Amino acid sequence: MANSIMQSLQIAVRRRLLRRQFVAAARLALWGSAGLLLLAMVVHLAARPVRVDTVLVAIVTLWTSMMAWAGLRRPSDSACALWADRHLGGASAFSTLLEMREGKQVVPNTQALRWLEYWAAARVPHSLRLLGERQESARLSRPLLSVLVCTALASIVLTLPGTAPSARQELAAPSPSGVADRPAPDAEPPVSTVSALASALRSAESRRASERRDDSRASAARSGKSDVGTGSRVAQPGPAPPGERTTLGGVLPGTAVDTAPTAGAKQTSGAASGRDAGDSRDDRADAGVSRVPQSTIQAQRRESSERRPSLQRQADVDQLATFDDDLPMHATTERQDPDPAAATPPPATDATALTPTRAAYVQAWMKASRQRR
Amino acid sequence: MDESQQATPLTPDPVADSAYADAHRKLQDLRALLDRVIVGQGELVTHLITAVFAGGHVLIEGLPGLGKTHLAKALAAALGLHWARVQCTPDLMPADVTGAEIYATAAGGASTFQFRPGPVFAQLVLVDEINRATPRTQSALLEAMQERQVTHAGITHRLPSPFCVLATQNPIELEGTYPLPEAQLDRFMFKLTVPFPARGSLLAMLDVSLDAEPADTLQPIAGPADVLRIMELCRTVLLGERCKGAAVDLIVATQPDSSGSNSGASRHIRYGASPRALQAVIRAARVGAVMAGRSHVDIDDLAAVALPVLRHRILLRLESELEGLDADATLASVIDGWRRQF
Repeated sequence: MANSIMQSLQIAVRRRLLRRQFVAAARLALWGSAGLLLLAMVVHLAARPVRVDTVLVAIVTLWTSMMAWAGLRRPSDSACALWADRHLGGASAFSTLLEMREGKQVVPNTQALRWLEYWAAARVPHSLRLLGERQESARLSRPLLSVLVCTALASIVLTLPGTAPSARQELAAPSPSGVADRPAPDAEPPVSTVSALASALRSAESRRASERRDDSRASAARSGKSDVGTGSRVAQPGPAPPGERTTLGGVLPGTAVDTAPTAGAKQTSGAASGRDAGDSRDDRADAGVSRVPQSTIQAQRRESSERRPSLQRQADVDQLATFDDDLPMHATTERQDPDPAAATPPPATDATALTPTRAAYVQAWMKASRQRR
Repeated sequence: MDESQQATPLTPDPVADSAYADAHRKLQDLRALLDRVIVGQGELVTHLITAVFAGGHVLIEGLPGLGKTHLAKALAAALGLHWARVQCTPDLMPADVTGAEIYATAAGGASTFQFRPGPVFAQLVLVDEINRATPRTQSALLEAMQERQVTHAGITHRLPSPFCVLATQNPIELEGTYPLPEAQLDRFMFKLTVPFPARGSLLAMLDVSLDAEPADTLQPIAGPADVLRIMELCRTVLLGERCKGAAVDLIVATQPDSSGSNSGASRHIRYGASPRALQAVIRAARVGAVMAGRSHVDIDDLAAVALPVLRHRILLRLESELEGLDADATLASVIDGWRRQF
């Protein structure tokens, strides 16, 4: 009788402990699943694309192993007795009785053992009632919420195309045979690429026209204004998308791809437009990256360097004759002399912004040059 | 010990008339009786009963007038024991405690030396203000407590059984006293402190003991034979492996240099409890189990007797004492940390 009562308690306790183990395993598996999803998202974004089915297989493996771990750890009789002693008011009776029955101890007094059996059997209903009243929270809400959030994020992130740097490098890296430089026949160029290509072509045409117009000095200013416009068309504000440069180079066979860094491209564009315009500085060229083909820029530089000696010589002579370095003195001289001599304009670099005084100086120099001609 | 454990079913059963049930009833009755006489000192009464039935001696510390002598008299009266009282003073000699040989002349005219037993030969000895006796007298008394015998002039005299010494000492007025050394303190199973009663207890005390001494009229509910039988029964109480380990862990937790000791103990304790303390804990816990109607020891039984067993067996560091710590506070943290492990 006492044995059957004790057995019933032991079974109930074992069932409770097993349930606790499974809940603990589920909790761990939920946290693990959330971690796996986070890891997959990070890998997908940072390293390489991750397939959804790979993540699913990892999660299923995790759950299987956790459930197997929980199921294989069957609570022993002593563990059940100890738990009942601790939590169900057993007062060490169940574990002591189990030890005595298993013969771990020499029973000094059979009367004591009988009294212990009686005491424990009388205690079992109370312990079973306590077990029934004992509500243990599963504490699954937080891991469950984490898994739901991670699943939602992962469903968004993992469906995105691979944005990992390695994927971008694979796209951007030119193949040794040069096949990658040409657009794939089945790949449709994006709209931005087409517009950039058109802009580049237009700027090349306009630069050629402006070079022709530069032969006469009277049209230099107009040509400069045209260049300003051209520059504004060529220079696109903001950094260029990485893929466009390759596409541009591919579409323009025979022209060198502008592989110079952004700063270099910016400086080139600013110098060209500022020199040629003479009266204004192309701020837009500073903000963006020039996509002017390098051949065009080089031709412009050559032509400009050819022009520079005669202009410089003339300006130096005029400067020696007319201008002083001091700007207020220059203003006085200009008032006294109605025909001011030309001077060398300040170098038009990106670093030097034209102050109003300098702008006035440049305009005066241009006006004097025009009148002299 | 919680209420559910107290409410042990003792309904008629084939084994309900066993010795354990009988001992349980006796102890419960004794406690109830003493609770009526010694008002408001329930814990003190329980510990005192525990020590007596565990075969130990008790050192009671408390201010004058708190009923220490009254308690000893009531206990002796309730158990039907022969009791004696020794008032310790600096001029008390060992022979005044253990007895002496006197030259006596018999009726026939023959004169011989006869041994006249001292008060230590009573079953319950109340030694008042033991710290006022000289170390020599203390030593003689404590030797008798330990060996349960007195040797005089080459003749060994066995002390009666049961034998229990209740020694008292005053925590104040320490001038001219001889504090007990640690080795002799270790002979006492319990060191109990008598707290000042609560207001309700004081009111109840007026009803009980204003005009009469209740201990004088107390009827014994047991005799020395019953005491011995219950003491014998307590030695058969089962002790599981878990409780054995817990008791050992408790003693280890008081050691300053042991790896099992917690940080509080190692920081404040200079000397921990002895192996004799381990034996005392288990013996006292067995009595506690019988008082709770069980034939097996629980961790709660160990925890219930841990403080009175250990409080006089540890020595605190001087720095900790200067910080105002005492043994009770230190042990409370040690026991609390130990209890949480089980």
